[in-house]
Amino acid sequence: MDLVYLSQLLITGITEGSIYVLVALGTVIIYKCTRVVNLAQGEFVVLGGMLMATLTGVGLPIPLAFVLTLIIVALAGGLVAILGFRPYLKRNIPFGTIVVVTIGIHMFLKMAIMLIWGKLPISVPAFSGGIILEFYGVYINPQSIWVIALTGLTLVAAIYFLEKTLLGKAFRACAENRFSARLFGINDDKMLLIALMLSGVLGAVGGATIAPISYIKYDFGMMYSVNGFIAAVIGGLDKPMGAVVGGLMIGLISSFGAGLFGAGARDILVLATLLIILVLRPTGIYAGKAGG
Amino acid sequence: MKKTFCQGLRLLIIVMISMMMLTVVGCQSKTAAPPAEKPPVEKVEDKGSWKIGFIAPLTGPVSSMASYTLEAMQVGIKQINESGGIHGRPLELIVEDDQTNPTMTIAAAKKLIERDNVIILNGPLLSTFSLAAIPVVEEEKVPNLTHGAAIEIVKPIKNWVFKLPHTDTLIIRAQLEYLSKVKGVKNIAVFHQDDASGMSGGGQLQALSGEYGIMVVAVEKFAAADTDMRPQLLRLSRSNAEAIAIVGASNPVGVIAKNAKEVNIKIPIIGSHGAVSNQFIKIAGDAAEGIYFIGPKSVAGEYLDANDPFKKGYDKLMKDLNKEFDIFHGNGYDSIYLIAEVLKIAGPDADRNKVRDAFEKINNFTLVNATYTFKSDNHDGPQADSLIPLVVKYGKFIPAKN
Repeated sequence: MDLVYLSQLLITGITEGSIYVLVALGTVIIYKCTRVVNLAQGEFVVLGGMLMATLTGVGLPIPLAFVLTLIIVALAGGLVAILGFRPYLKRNIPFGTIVVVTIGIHMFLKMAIMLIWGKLPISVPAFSGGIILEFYGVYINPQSIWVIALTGLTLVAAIYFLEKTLLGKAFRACAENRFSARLFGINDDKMLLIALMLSGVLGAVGGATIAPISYIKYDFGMMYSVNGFIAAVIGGLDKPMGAVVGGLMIGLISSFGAGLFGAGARDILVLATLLIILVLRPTGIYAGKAGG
Repeated sequence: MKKTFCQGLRLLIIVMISMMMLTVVGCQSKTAAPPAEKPPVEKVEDKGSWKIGFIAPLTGPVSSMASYTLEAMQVGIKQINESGGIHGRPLELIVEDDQTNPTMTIAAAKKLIERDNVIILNGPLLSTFSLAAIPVVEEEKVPNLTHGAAIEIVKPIKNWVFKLPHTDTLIIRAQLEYLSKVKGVKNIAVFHQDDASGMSGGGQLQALSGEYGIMVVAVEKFAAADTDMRPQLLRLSRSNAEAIAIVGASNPVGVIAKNAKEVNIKIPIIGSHGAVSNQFIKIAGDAAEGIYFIGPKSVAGEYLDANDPFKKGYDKLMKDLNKEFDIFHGNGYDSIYLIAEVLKIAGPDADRNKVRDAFEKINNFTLVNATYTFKSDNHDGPQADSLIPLVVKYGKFIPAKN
């Protein structure tokens, strides 16, 4: 196996991994705030891709379409919080049950997407044209660079929000301890809304950037949800940095698995990794402080 | 710490089980008919419309195929019913979605046969599902005009099963013929889908290549829902293949075309009739230019001569189909006209047996995608005369000249 081929797989792995990072981070944020694992996370990715396709289709320039997509998905996230999460969280229902509710949300969103955009695959235009770059025999799709760059920027923005702004700090307080936060006057309903809107935006960035590389289809959500969830668990379900590490790991394992052993090996290797890590380090491989 | 671990583990187990349930049950709940142990009952006596059952993967990675087939069927049925139906009775289509799952195909077949009393089963689409339905129609003794292309469907011959699309053998031979005679290559790579039709086509490419003086130097596989074929393409580009022969459906072959352009594959690529659809062009975009295919003349229907035998059927379909032509439109339309013809031959008191016998009387019946002939020792309908090499130019399929 030569260096060129391995470099190619590395780039594909980081690109794919970026989407899993975004989904995993969204999963972690919601989990920290509510102790619920959101299995509808992948649908935000699909929505991101679909909205980009439609908005660019009606003639909007790509940057404007991108911003609008994020806003619309943020609103969708808010709706999911109000209609899908809040009624159940208020009633002291066990968290495992609410996870099943998120499966219902996944199905609902998937069907809504199917009704609006249809069942056929949809093409999304590349952000900077289709000319493929070449470095010493390694071919890089410029869209991959967009994926990695925008994922990085979004992560930086998310971290800035959480660490530096007042709202972000209130959010983290709520995530640490909901009841104490309420005592301090922090509205945990508002925090729930922010959690879901933020997760929605993260997913949408992923969908909007990766869809141009192949295509987007209404039923892609579950695949992203599952891989993102596995990435989050590997990183320790309540550690944001763990989500980043886990997402990249899953992306690389997926890419190298398919590249070195054939397409069938992809899922097997990802699941095997999950099992091994859970056995060796049940709280996740990332040994960061639990508060994150 | 231990408590959160237990909580987390419990949560994980619940989530894993839920996800496994989802994949097993499928995301849409459907009540499937339980397998019946009673002997096959000939129940098609009530007059009224001719009931035609149709099974297709209306949801799943190849749902576009199913949609195109269905809409053309509806055009065909409308045209026939508006001119009086067959023996004065209209045609009625009863549609079942098998969700791209062979278990559901079997359930759908049983439901159509036992509960809806269809006189004939149209579909399923794709070889995997056609093969799944065969034991059911053979046991229940129901004529089945199936839309799968793999040769195993009719070899060995099955009493009740009749094949609609061109056998993959014809396509494979046409691919090899084109590569050796027109492109003059000696070594090729085979890149095929990992489902029944892909495995069948891939196997035949390897088995028959010697007859055309071609050697297969590399073989790779892909899955219908794959969105990244670069690893396989990179491996293929390292062999000394002078061309790549592909067997697969529109969505993945579209991605292959895109990826091939990305990794700068310059050798000719030729696909099979499973991907000669506008869906391929939509997904591949600019990368579709210059990709070759073997397909029926109808795919380049606009460019046919007025006196071409397939032009008449093509125009008749396009008159009422307000969409761009797709090969699966041709399949759907031809299936309905074939069924109408066998009902005509079978007579006004046609039953499942008479319909089955009527199939074997169809001889040189030219429709849109092919000329069909069924014999008592050969249920493989289409002949090779409608197949031509095609190429994508300016976003359209045109007959390939070189």
